[in-house]
Amino acid sequence: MSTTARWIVALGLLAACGQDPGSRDPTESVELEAPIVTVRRLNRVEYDNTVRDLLGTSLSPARLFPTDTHALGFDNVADALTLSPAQVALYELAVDDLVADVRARGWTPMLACAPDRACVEQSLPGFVRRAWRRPSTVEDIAGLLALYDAAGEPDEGAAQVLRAVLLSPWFLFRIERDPASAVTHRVSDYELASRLSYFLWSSMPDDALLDAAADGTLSDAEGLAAQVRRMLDDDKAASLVEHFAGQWLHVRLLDDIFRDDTRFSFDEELRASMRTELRLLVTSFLEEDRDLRELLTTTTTFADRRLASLYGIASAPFDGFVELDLSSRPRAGLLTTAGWLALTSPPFRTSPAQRGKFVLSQLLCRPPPPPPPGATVVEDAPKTGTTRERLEAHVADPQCAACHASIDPIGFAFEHYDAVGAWRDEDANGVVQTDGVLPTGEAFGDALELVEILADDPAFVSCTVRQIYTFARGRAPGPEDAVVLGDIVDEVAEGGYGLRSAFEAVATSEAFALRRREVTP
Amino acid sequence: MTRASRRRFLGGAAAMIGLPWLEALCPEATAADARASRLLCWYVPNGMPMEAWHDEGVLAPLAERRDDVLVVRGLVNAPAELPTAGQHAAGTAGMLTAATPVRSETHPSLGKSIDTLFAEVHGRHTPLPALALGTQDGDAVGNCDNGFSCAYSRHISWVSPTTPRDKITSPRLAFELLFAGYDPTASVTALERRRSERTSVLDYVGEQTAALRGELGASDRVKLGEYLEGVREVERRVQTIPTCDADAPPEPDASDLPTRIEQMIDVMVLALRCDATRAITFMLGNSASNRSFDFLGVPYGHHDLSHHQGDPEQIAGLEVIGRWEVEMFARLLARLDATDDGDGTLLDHTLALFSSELSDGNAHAHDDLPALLAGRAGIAGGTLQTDGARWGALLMGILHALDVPVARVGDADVPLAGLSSR
Repeated sequence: MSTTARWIVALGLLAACGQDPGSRDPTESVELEAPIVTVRRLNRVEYDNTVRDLLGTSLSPARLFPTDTHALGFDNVADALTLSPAQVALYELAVDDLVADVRARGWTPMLACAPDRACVEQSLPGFVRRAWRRPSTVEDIAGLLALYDAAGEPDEGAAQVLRAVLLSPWFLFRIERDPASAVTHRVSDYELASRLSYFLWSSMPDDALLDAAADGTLSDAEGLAAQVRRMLDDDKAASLVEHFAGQWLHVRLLDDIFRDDTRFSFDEELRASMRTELRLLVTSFLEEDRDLRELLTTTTTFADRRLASLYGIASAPFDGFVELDLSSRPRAGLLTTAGWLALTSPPFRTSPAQRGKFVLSQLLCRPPPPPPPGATVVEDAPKTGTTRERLEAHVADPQCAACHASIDPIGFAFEHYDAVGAWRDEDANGVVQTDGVLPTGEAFGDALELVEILADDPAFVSCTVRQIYTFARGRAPGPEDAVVLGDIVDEVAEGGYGLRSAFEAVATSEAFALRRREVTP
Repeated sequence: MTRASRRRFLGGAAAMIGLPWLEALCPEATAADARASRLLCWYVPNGMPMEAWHDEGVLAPLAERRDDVLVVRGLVNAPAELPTAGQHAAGTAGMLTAATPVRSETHPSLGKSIDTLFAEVHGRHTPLPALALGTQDGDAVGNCDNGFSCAYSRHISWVSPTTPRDKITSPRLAFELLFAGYDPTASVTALERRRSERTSVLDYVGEQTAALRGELGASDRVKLGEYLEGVREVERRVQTIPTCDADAPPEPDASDLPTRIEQMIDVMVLALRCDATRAITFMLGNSASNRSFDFLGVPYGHHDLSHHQGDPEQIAGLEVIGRWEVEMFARLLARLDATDDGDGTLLDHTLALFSSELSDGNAHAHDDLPALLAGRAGIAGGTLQTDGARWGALLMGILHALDVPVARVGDADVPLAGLSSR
């Protein structure tokens, strides 16, 4: 590559690294608009949760389904949820197991009585409303009863009905229909109920929510807010910790990491403890509506003995997990938890670039662009020196330097924490050095100073809202969403930055209920 | 029928010994199509240590079978060569398409893979047109490869240019999928009744889906169209339940990789033997897999290792992994050759392709790709040296050898000559 071409690449990368999403002129007045969103298939988690809540089954048939393709950081993005014929065949297999399970329980909760025709006819409208998440029509019931009648025998008839209900596109997809009149419009209250329940519970609406859709409560701002609060209070809202935070903060990666046990004291017990700590930490922010900026700075965490000793609190007189004060230790918030420090590290060492990239992509929504072609070939990298020294030598190339100047200093700040999060003064090759300067000019001496800078960066709050919004909508926020994202951020800030409030603000926002009819050109 | 009864029918004893569950199966291959050709594509991640590939060091496990194997050298998959990052995704997506993937996280678009093109001709009368198998579901979070859809990294088989074929990673589930509706203990009347029940439900669902589609916008119609197509395919399958005797594989699925692969090989042989499908793709790992091969004494992430930077120790590790991957493939070939199929063995009627998304993983190179063809359907063993021939031409040559006379695959419109004789 010629020198000129290299410069052009470098300048292009600089521009790409400096972008700041989501800023707008607050005086601008814009009509709310909604991007088109494709009909969404239930993903694996949603399928299993839905059959659990609909049928009371303990089976998890989707556990073995092919993994849902994730996109934009989440596995519930409508466009990425493709479907090949094999998946349909697997649905058919799963339904056989589910039918056998419900049948063995005397058809509860599908039917409230023995499966004779009168009982089925009486039970179907209620069951179909729950399963298809909308009121049943006369045609729906007639079609299902025809299947019942054709079977010629009560139990076989009930089985046929249940198979058809569970293989219906109304069950497997979240279908939203457009009125002929409007292009951008508010979805129906039943459709809104599904949007809410799959956002906050990763599951179907319960009866109370369907009733609120039926009687118009959801059309009323107060009624909607009350339902959202009720849903966040429900145990099922734990799905936000598992599925939203599990993906946003990459906690799910802990399942897959491996560590060289000759270098690190790592085993299944520690893996489980790391997961639990992160789960409890996020749960406390959600349940207590804690200021989400403190997720990066809090000096209390949740730890068992194993983690406490990793954090330098040796003789912990307790069993299980307790809330632990770490203010005497060099620890603060998510980015110094053992779990996060481990999940951002390869098996044998730390990766400052990986940690820096996580912070930029997941916490600030400023993902660095892909490395230029050939950038991973590091023929001339020195083989000696600390991880930091070697990385600094490697990115001296101006092609790499532009972006690494924003990625690496963040990662270097955490060099005191090894690949399982334990404190160290030296890495394998020398004394670690944690000071650095961000592209903005802000300087820090170590991780504890850096996390304060990050927590104060308005990009952290707006990025968190953007991540919640992406998960809630199952699509990328488009230019149409800039206004509403700004408004939600303002609302969250005015309310004291509570994490639970952020979910409430998204769920009750006007935009959350909007839909645009796709006009075929 | 219930699948539970079929499991009971099998019994735990056969399961414990491992292979014998297969032996009772398919006593008579189905007569009419017994000699039909089969296509099998076997993918391994992260390229190959190319020096040991060329001197055939990593091919040692195939030494005794060298006559059944054609090594093709010097092929270039130019469409997979990207001007940006994403080389693993592009190479994986391009292995059976020779097409360039569109860079999008949410809207992958590529081309049909050769197993799909093959199945459009030879898969119409089998219960499954094609089957995609693997050993890894996929990373739990994050971006797969620099803005390229994760679908590119997890699939080599594409049903349509925008839809990957769902890949099954559980041997048991693969079995269930192949033999759904099959029950050796059921009476003819019971089977007929079950068939009719399934058909009525699928008819109901199909009609409902078709009607609903009419009310929706264009993108939604596409999604429900995929569903409808799947429903129609299952309806066809209900009419063509495999007729050979089959018992379920041991459960639970093995958790260690070598045993898991053995189980998948069992499923492949069973599927081909029973003519449940004629096209199988298998991914030994996902694109850029960072799996550790500690059971081979190579306890490093495979992808990390593939960026060897010329380090002899890392290259030695890659050679151990490469030889083991070839050994697994050799076991499949041995099993195929030990299985009767009409006038010969399954291997006589199979064309198998072994390759990776890259040649040298360190350089992310798409030229001089590692390629093995094996079996006795349409090819002759030996070595075919090409001088930068197109990867698409190889794919096209494979299809032509299997009587699928397509006019183009990816960037190629002339099939590679010399596969069957030189």
